[in-house]
Amino acid sequence: MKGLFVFVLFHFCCSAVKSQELFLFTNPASNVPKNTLVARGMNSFFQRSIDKSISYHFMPEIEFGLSKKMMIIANGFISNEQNKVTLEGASLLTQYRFLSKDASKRHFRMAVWSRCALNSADIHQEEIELNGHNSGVRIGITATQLLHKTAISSTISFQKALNNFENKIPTTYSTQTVDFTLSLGQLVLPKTYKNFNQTNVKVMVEMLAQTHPANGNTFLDIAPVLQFIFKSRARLDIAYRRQLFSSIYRTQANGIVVNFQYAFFNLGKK
Amino acid sequence: MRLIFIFILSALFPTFLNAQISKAELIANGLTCSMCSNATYNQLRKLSFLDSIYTDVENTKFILYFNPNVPYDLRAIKSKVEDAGFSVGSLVLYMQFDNVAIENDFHYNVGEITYHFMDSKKQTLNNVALVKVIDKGFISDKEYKKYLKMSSKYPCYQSGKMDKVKILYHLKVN
Repeated sequence: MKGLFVFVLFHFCCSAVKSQELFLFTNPASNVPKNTLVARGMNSFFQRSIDKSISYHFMPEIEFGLSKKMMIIANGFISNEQNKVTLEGASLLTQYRFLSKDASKRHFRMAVWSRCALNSADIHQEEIELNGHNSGVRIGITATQLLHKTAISSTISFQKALNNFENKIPTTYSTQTVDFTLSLGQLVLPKTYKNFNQTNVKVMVEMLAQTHPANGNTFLDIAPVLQFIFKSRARLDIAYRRQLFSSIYRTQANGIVVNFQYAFFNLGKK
Repeated sequence: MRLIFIFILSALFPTFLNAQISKAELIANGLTCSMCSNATYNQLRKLSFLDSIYTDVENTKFILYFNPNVPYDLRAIKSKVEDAGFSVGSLVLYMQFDNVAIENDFHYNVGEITYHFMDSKKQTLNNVALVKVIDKGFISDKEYKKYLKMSSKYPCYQSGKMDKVKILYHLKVN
């Protein structure tokens, strides 16, 4: 029933709103430009439900455009889960854009991607998240539509979690998930572009859902994001992620994310 | 003395390498935001045959000023826009002509380059004329399909190749 609700909600949103595509929790089908390197630092402050303390995760990340159709993203996972700051793991994501239909101030793109993650952290929740919590593999497909100052992007992906080295996944937990995301956003400022130095302000809403086919357990989160782009190359995101409902056991569902990134355009000689 | 030298030099070499194109107006498709325009600008900046680039962010337009002493490659412009993640919506050249009578299917040879005119009225081009590149990848898919319908008359348009021609571009007088 909840799976049906998620499906209906997603399709309602698809028909209702459109938005700009540099999302925080998901990647659009567009890639980082060829020979461009993006350095990113994502900080998340999530409240542990057990004692209301703050779980801090820092994810340093490098994104690089290998060609016009392919990019790679490598990131590391650092947290205070063991009551000390610890490097827990890393992941590598590869994305291939296989469809691109461009027109004036609009495009439709589709991409396939995969992520491989290694993590040594304690497994303290049923939710599977390769971006900082679990070892495993994930494959997905993304579709993104840009319409002038608005854009919409959606992904469907499949995750298979593996043991975090000595930290085994409890046998009562499912190791496979299907994840859906829907990201919407709007360029608010500037009203009219004059040069590269104007600060861009964007508002976004991302909806993130996970379902475990083995038992039907599901969660749905909403994450409003405020984004600033400085000098057309630096970006600051401030987001609040909140659980709307969940039948999955989660130890830290709600929190704040602050992300900063900087693009080094065209590092190649030619 | 210097003027005499320049006069003699220009008589010996009547056309400098890029004498026929001084600038071009490029519109990139598939982008809106300034970060995307900046990515495109930074790709184009690597082209050695461009002297400078002016960016109109609002209209995703780039005015390209050509270096007259460096051979140009219009397909490199297309590649750079695509490397940034976008595509060329239109590329209009400011091209120098000296009483050149053109009509449909007219081939204008300049050095190793052949410009093949299509969809253009019979006319004489003089001084600077605006011509649009209409090859695949330089115009929208919709426009390309329109020109492809004419390709029974111009088979080189579809193939992009012509016998004994090293570099071929298809142009329309704008």
